[in-house]
Amino acid sequence: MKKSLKQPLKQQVQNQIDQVKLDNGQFTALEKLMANHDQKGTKESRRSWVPLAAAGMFLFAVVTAFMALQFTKDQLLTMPQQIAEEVVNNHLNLKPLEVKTGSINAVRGYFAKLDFMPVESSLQALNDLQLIGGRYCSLQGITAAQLRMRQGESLQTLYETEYLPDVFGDIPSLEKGEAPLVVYAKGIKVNVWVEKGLLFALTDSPVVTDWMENDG
Amino acid sequence: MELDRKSLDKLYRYAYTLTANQADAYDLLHNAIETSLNRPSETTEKYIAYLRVIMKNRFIDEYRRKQSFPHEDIDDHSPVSISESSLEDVVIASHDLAVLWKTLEPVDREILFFWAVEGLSMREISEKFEISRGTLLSRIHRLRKRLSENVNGGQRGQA
Repeated sequence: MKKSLKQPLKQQVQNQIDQVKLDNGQFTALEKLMANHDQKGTKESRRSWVPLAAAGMFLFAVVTAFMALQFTKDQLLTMPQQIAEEVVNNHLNLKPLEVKTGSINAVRGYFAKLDFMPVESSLQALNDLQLIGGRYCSLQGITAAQLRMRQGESLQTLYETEYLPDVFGDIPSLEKGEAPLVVYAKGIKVNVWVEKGLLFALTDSPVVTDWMENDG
Repeated sequence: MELDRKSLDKLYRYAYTLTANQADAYDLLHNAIETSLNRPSETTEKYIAYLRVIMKNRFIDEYRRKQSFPHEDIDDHSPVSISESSLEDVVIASHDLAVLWKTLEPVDREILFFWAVEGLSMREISEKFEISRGTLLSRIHRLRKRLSENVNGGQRGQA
């Protein structure tokens, strides 16, 4: 059998990885996947620009200037709104807890496979909440800890995940003295903030969900 | 946002580094692109970074579900010298590496990928993994030991 030549490890790893390439079929499929979505977006935006074009260049200039002024604000709102919607959907689903405990240390022990350690926030609103358990989850594709808290007769959901500015954008930081962002999704208030390097999202739901105590 | 073939190949290689299997790598990349479609990205670089984060988390989730994610304590601070923890002077045959690649832990494959393909320094890799340099060097020391054991073992087997 022909014996292959020994070379520095770095070179061999590069050679091996360089050989890995999408074949034409796979590349075309991924290209199509992205193009289909872009086309959908383009069609929608073309439709939305028709009345603006008809209104003339003046109106276009005004709208563009307005959009430019609002750009920073929109950037702040878009991602938190997506976070709030995901958190509220999961809050309403109330999937079974994977760990049932009132102890943050026990919760940390359970979430040992996360890249971060769940921590207690200093946010005042959490003082009235009592931890009852948690489950692994994800937020915008990033692995997260979903904690469930009891507040009187209501249950609240608290998400904690690593704060990645590239993914989540600018989120108010408690440590900088900023107040949590308040976003509404499906009528439920969600507070979103950054603290201790983590992104937090907490529901403030008035719904009485006492029956979930027996979820399993 | 559309990506060119070069960027897609790069992402595919990273997925392959995680999975050590080309079919799984393609599924992971396809899934990550699908997940990311509704999230606008300002730049291609940010989009690629986001896809990488999604793929890594999906991969960990998947293996956790199968309960086969190799979890090893990364905080091993057994003392090793710098020379023992360098990969620069390791030589290996391509066949041996191909065989060994599939048996390495995903985190070790990632270290090799960032070191050899992305050209990151040990300091940059330790920052990326959020572990101390000492911890990374211990890990590399074990990896180096494993590479030489397998190569020598393979040679003994062939003799």
